[in-house]
Amino acid sequence: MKTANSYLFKLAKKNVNRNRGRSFFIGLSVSLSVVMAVWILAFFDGLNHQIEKAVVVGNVGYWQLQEKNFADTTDPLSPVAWDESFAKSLQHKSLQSYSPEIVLDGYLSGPDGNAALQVVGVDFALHQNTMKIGDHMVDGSWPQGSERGIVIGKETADRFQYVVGDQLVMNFQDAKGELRSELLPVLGIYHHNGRTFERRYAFVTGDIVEEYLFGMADPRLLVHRVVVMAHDLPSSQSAMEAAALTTKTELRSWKQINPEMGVVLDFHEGLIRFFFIIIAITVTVTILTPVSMLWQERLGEIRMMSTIGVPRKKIWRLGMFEAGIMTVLAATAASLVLVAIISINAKTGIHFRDLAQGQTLERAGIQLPKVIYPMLLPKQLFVTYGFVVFIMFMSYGLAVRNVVRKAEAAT
Amino acid sequence: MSRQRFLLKFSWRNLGRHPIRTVIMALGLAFGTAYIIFALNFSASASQEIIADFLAQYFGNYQVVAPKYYPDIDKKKFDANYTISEDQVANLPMDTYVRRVTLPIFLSGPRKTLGTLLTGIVPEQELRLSKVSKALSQGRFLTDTGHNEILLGEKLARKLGVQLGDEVAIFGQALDGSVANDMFKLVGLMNFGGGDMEENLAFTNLVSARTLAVIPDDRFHQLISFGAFNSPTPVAPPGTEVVPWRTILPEIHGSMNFIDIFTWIVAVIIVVVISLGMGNTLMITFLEREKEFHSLNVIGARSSWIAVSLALEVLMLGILGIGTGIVFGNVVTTLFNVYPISLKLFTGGKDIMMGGMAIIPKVRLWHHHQYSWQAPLLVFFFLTLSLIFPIQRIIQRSRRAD
Repeated sequence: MKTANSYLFKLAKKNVNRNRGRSFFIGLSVSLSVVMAVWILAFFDGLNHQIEKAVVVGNVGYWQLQEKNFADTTDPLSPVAWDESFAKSLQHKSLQSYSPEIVLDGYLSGPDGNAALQVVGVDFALHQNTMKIGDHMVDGSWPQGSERGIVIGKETADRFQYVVGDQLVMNFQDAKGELRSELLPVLGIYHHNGRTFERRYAFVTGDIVEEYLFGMADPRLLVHRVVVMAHDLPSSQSAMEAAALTTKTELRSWKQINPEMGVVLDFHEGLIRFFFIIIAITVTVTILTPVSMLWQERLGEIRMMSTIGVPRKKIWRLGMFEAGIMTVLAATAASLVLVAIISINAKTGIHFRDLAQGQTLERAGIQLPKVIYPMLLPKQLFVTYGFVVFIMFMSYGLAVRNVVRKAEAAT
Repeated sequence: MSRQRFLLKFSWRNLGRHPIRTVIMALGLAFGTAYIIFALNFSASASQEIIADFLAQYFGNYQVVAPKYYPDIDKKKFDANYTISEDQVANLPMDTYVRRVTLPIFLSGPRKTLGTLLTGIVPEQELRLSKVSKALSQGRFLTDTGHNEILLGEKLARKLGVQLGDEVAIFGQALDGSVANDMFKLVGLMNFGGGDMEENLAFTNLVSARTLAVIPDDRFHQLISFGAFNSPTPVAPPGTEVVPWRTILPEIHGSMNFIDIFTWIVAVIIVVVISLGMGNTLMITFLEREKEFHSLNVIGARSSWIAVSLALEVLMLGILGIGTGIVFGNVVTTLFNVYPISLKLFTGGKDIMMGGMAIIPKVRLWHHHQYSWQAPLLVFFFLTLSLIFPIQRIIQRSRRAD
């Protein structure tokens, strides 16, 4: 059996070499098609990754564990106490960091108008470890401990003309339903994540939010939500589901929190799937003829093989060996070209400035990328080989079937 | 004349020599052309239908506003102090316009106080022209004469902790600098598919909004057109500015352009793939007939004559394949005009969200006639390119044989 296979493999190699130019062109057609198709995939992988990053760093995280009432209505009145079960359940290799948060909907009033503000009560060290906003301060600094004061976005600061050290008048509604105003010194101003984010989010310690909402800070750490950073959604899903069960909280992914951009990503993936189907059909139809002709030319040869008793199975095996050799050659060539091109593009990026007409575009609260960096991912290698395997084996299979039938009919 | 006729016959006969091969090649061309026509029609129709549907819900095709109403290139910022008057826009055909007043306000309910945008509308105009009323999920729509009635998004109402019939407190800043505050009764809830619009918008009638913000009776912020989607923007009346939706919502315009560009890139890739396959097949077909060409050379046929006959052969194949593709592409387009395609196919069953609201993801395909010549031209161009190399090789071989 082994000897027969080795003989058939050698014969297949000879057949591929017999018409080198022709084999080269078939391989080239498939390789180029795959290169173009997978490059588009890499482009969308890059774009989707950038969109996902833009959403998750917008204080959303990949996941959030939300207190049940807060998850349903953003009702701030029943935060849960942070305990060991949270910290323990979030110790998992698929999760990177987390930030427990308590939220207060406040607003600012000034001569230039009013603005709503989401005041997020955080543990500054944990938040910095998760969101890294402290790396984007344009004035003042990101607090290290439990300093009393507020960190606001540049957009808010510009609009209300606040600088570090100013007293900001924070208006809000407390747990009793009363409208209150409190003074808070501005500790720092960040410039990060786009205008909408800067307008919307301000950061204080959790104690301040507890004090504003309930009249005094609780000795325990109260949370409405825990923002969790992970490597990606799929790899961390099971760990987060378990954490939600343990902590009796609701689990929300970034796609649920920002459905508009979540659907954009789903749409891109659907588009790519459709595109691959069309490319696969087109390449198969166009490659089918040359491969059929290649085998048609060898009809006499195959007929003779049938006559001298070579079983149909072996002719099929010969054909599949040829397809295999062509697959390895075409897919390897395509992979090398792809690695080179995508590596360059991943550094230089592809500019879409004209689409935005010079503006910074924001959609669903995130800044849309102007320069897209295609990403080189291992899955693209699988797609490349899978695609070539499908096309080659499909084309060779159909060609071999026709020739074998004709040869058998003649004998 | 007879020479050309002979050439034509000769080339036609050669096409019939291997009918299956010819059919497969023509099918490749037909499939590619048809797909490109379909894809371009789909992309253009989808952009148009989605945008038309989206704009009809709230934003309108363009707005007539005071020149300083949008002080910045970022049209998300506006200055409510700038209004326009009825007199300024009296020359516009008012049957396709709605008037609106927009105020950034705070809404206070039992649960919390939230910042939102209050839009004062003329219910009769909105019912006739926009689709705002279609988003009503509970209660009733506003009336022109109702006093301090309000519609809220479901999400916003949940957050505030209010239900139909409840009162909410509104406070903000009036245009004269005074504090604007009053109680409004919740008469209806709006459902925008769970998007941000549901927590960022509240509606009342124009009279109540004007009273709240101390705006004179003949003034308003926006005159919004809900006319035909592609209707040209008018010249701005003196003292006003016309702002098209592309400027107000550049992110939506950019997203649509991006999909259009992607469709064209895919179309070119498909054509290149087809050309590579065709070039390959033509090369094999021509090389197979090398002996025949050599015989033709021997009996006096020049290499150029052979090249012309081969080019004619490809031309006929192209006409056959691309012609079939044009017909097929347009038939498929017509089919999906009758049976619209659901965009949920691409989103795993989810609604498409745009500008904070869900949109109906069904696309009815329309014929965009320019694609019926642009796509074939593109295919023909690449088909011609794919022909160059095989013919060049044949001529070289013939010359070498001479």
